[in-house]
Amino acid sequence: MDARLVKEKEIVLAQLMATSPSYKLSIGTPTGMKTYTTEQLIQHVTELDDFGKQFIEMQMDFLRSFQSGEIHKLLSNLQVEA
Amino acid sequence: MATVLITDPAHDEATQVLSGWIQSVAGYITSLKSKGHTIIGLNNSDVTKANLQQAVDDNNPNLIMINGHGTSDVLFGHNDHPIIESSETGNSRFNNSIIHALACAAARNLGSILVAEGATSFIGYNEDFHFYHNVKPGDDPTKDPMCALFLEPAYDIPKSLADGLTVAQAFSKSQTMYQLNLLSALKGNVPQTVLASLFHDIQSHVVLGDQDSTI
Repeated sequence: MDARLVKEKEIVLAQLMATSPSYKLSIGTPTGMKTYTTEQLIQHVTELDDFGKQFIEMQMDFLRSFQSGEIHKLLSNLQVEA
Repeated sequence: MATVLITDPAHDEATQVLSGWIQSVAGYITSLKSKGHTIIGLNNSDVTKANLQQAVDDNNPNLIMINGHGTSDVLFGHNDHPIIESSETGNSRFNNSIIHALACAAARNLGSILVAEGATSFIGYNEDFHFYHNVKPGDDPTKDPMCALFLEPAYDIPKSLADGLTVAQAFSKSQTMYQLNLLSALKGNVPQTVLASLFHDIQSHVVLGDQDSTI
């Protein structure tokens, strides 16, 4: 198995462990909008099925946005009132 | 004075959460007495292709709010039956309407096709739309702060349009709300998994067509 994917899986599982079990994620899929509990997300990521890999990629995209500066660029234009 | 057509399929957990927010938007638009807007609602099992087409043909709505499942070529109604498809020949019926789609991916292709066939503007998402929620049975989804991170900015667009803002102004205001929510969530104890989905929605939120238009 891809060592990078294994590492990313561990990172995302740690993030999911820090997510409340009462939260649910509704997300579009080719067959309709599906709703996942945190427990179900953990299962998909653990099994590295298609949805699990998609979820990992989304989480890693967000982390990479810090490294690339993309998120800082996005938020830097905000004018936040003191 | 505008005519606003709203679909509210409410057939599964996700669309039932959306329904609370959709009805809140409808209530807001109706409350703008000085504007005199008219709401046409297609709810639950009435959200079919035939009913949508009839409602559009009869009323020439200025704003059409489509809510539910979507793909790059299809918007869906009740029980995920298609209601607008890129392969249809009758999409010119949406001419002169601003379309707001709270649905996945339709901006990737369908949105451009609808604009090319005469829709004034299309505001939607070019990737899957995500939202987290923590709504218990019987609770009002609009009171769920987790939901609000995503759906308050998303549904601010039709409210802004009803207030008289242009498409560009409404979109910009929504984006700012999204970004402020992300910033606030980054500072707070919101889990990273939630932040990732919020960031994803911000990045995939797009507007097509005439951005100076109003309803």
